[in-house]
Amino acid sequence: MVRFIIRRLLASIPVLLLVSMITFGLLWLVPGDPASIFLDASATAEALDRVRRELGLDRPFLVRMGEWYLRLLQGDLGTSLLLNRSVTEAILERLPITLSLTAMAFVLAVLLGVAAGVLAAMRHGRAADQGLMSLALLGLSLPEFWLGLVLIWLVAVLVPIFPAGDYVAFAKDPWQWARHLALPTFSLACIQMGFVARMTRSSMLEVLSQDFIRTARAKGLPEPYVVLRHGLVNAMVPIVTVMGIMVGALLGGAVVTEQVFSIPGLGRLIIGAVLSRDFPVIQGGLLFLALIYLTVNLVVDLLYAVIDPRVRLG
Amino acid sequence: MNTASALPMLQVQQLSTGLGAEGPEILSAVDITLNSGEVLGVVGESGSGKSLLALSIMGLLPPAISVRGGQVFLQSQNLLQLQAPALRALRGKAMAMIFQEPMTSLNPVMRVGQQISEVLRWHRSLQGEAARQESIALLQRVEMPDPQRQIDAYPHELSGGMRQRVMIAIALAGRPRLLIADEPTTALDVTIQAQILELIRKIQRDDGMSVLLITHDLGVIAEMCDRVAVMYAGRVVEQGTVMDIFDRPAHPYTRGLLASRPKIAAGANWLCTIEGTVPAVGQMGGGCSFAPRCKLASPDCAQRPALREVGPSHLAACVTPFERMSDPRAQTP
Amino acid sequence: MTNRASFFRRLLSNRSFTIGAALVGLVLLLALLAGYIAPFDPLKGNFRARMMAPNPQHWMGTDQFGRDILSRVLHGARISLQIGFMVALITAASGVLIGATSGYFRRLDGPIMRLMDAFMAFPSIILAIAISSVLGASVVNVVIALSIAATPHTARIVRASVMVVREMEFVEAARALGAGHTRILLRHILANAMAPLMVRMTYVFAVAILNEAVLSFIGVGPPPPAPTFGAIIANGRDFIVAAPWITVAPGLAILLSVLGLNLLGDGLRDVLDPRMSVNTR
Repeated sequence: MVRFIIRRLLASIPVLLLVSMITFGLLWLVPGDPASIFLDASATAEALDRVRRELGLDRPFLVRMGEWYLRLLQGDLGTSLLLNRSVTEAILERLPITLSLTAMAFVLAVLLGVAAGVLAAMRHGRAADQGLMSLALLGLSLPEFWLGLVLIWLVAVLVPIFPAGDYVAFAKDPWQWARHLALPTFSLACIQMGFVARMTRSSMLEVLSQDFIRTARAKGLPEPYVVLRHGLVNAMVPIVTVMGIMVGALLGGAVVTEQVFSIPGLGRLIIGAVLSRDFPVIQGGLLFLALIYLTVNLVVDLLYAVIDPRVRLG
Repeated sequence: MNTASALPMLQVQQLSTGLGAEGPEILSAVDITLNSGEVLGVVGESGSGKSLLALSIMGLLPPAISVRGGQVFLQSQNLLQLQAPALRALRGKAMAMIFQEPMTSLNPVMRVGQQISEVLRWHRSLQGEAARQESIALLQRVEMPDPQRQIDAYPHELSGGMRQRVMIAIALAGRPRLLIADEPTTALDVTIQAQILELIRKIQRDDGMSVLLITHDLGVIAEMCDRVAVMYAGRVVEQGTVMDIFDRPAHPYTRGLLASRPKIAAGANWLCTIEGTVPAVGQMGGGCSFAPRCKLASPDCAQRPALREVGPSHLAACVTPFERMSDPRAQTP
Repeated sequence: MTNRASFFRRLLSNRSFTIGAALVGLVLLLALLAGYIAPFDPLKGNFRARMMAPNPQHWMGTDQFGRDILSRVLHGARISLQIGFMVALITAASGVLIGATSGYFRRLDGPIMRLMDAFMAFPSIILAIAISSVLGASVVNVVIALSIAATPHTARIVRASVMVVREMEFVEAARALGAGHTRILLRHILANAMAPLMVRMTYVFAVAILNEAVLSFIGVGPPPPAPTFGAIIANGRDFIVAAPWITVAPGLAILLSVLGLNLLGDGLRDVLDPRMSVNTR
């Protein structure tokens, strides 16, 4: 098991390298002069020079790359052109908010999605099955940000049950924290919920048709126990493998959801940077997100090995 | 075997099943009697319905197939009239079943010991350490090597023979009176087959269990069974003691089956076969299902023959059974 | 020939496919004819008709400049569908190129897949946003950005098909008969990868529409005054209480298009390879 972990860690190194190179290379993609894109037409020559120096554009490519990696290893992602503070600092400040939103959406999507999928599989072919799957299909065809806006309109403004945006720290007031995160979590989780429901259903149907379910029934065990302990546990195996991708999608969606609900997280930071062409922040944010995603995938792979003992051999 | 006065362990009477409510019939008026403490073999080719018979008894039919008539008595209880919870209470406890494919019949992500102790917890209220010890004891009983360690193994870590032993241990855990074994050795290597069969025989003798053994292999029948029922195309065509079947086969199909076994000493060039193929479900006309392939077929065969006695406790469903007894008693259906 | 005929018959009798095709067909038709059937100029405002709720003259109402929402949605559909289609096409081409190369030539497989993994490490929408912002706002750049985001997963799928077929015996037989790499690739292997690729393309199209809406909503999509779905929604956001129709209408349009494409993809998958399907028994 330990060897499996080590092997997995080593395998992620080349990917990490490539990820950092892509992030670095983003600046190079800019058509024209990044400095003048960041400032604007009315910038003075010396302002442009200053920005160019900050971005390292006055130095040769390889030197730039070397400096980039050196600073990276120290955890320094540069300085925000706009805010004039350390990118790393700005990111770390907002990361917990985004992570908590993503985590909650993940839990919601998995809980509701799996429940819906199991129910649909057990009522295969009947009204409940068709209804749940239609709902799931609808859910994953919605634009998340639009759902967020509609929810705000309906249950935050028309019928003010929930707040329309903003964020309250958990430490300050847990109840308000929950109230403020309820709508964003739900609209963020919607699409993934649909995916999970469909996947769970098809996986359950497959598992329930297998011989060992018949054996479990032959033992005289109660049907709910057979469906859950023997059926669902096996059905979850393929679903766990896509959990990493789910988190990736949720991270992406969180960025947009923060914009809709005015939540001061990493997403808002990145979007702000994107709109103002604050390149260091864009790069730093991208790198961080990729790092989170890779870590989550590593954990998922380990989880997979824990659940399915057959994997540990390979 | 002197069970004339005792209640038979299992009595299937005129059991019919089919596809849905109106689809083609699969099992047709099947009659089977398994006496207490006896091993009854059900032999037939694939498509004869023998596995479905076993599933019907256990109440494990797939949703597409339903029972259309008849009775199934487990001693004095009519299984077909029980509500689902009552039937479920008997499964694993009064009657247990082992299946053909031990690899796919065991939960791949659950340890073998847990799959045994499930039964112990549910049917015998054993918990924790007591359940574990009993599971080890059961594994010892089925001659599993190193049971202390194997109890924590996963199915894919075990060989085919060991997995089948686990299945037997699971079946025995509830202390059943009736064991149904559906082709228990078909998927195993020949050398392992003999071991498993001997194990089953031993356990059967020690516990006095009644066993319904389903197989297509006449060799297994000869070795294991006290009495035999021969099935063809969803019907029972002959029933009798193992001696009756092998020495005095009455039905032309049984004769054909026995004749088609290759004999090493015979030195013949061609294998003896029964011409034709088993009719598919829904393709049988009225009358004897074997008639299209039977060399003795006559116009009388257009009427489906009932099982009639051709010897003491030896029945065959044929109007012209081989070796008529000197005083054939034609029973009215 | 009979194979193809029975394939189309099965396709048409698949409910998911037909409903999806009908929806997509409808949206496509409306979008293509947008220039002709839109009752008003989507960019011109009418001061006297500001913020009107849906009525017989303006079926979807008007916004704060008096612009007819229906006309804007129709033109937005045209833009979105154009972008979605281009993205699907380019992603298919690049996905096949990369995936087939990676799947067929073992020595290139490792490095190519590492690169794909690296790109997939970024949430696709974020990658699209970043690339789009770096390249600048335009339809072409949006297409490039979305294609780059969608290619790695497509390449993976193509690679998987190629690897499966590569091992099959008839490929060995073809090679023994002297067929060159290109011939084998094109005739045998890619033909097999077509099925999962087609299914994947319907989803790429759908996701591209969704993502383009996000890009426009945030402000890195096709530049104003293009009436993209996202731009309409972004505009309507400020008036959500006073004029909810500005937000609701384009959202429903997106929902319809994406739903249709998803149904189409499901139906296609049911027919092409039931094993891949989420919906079969």
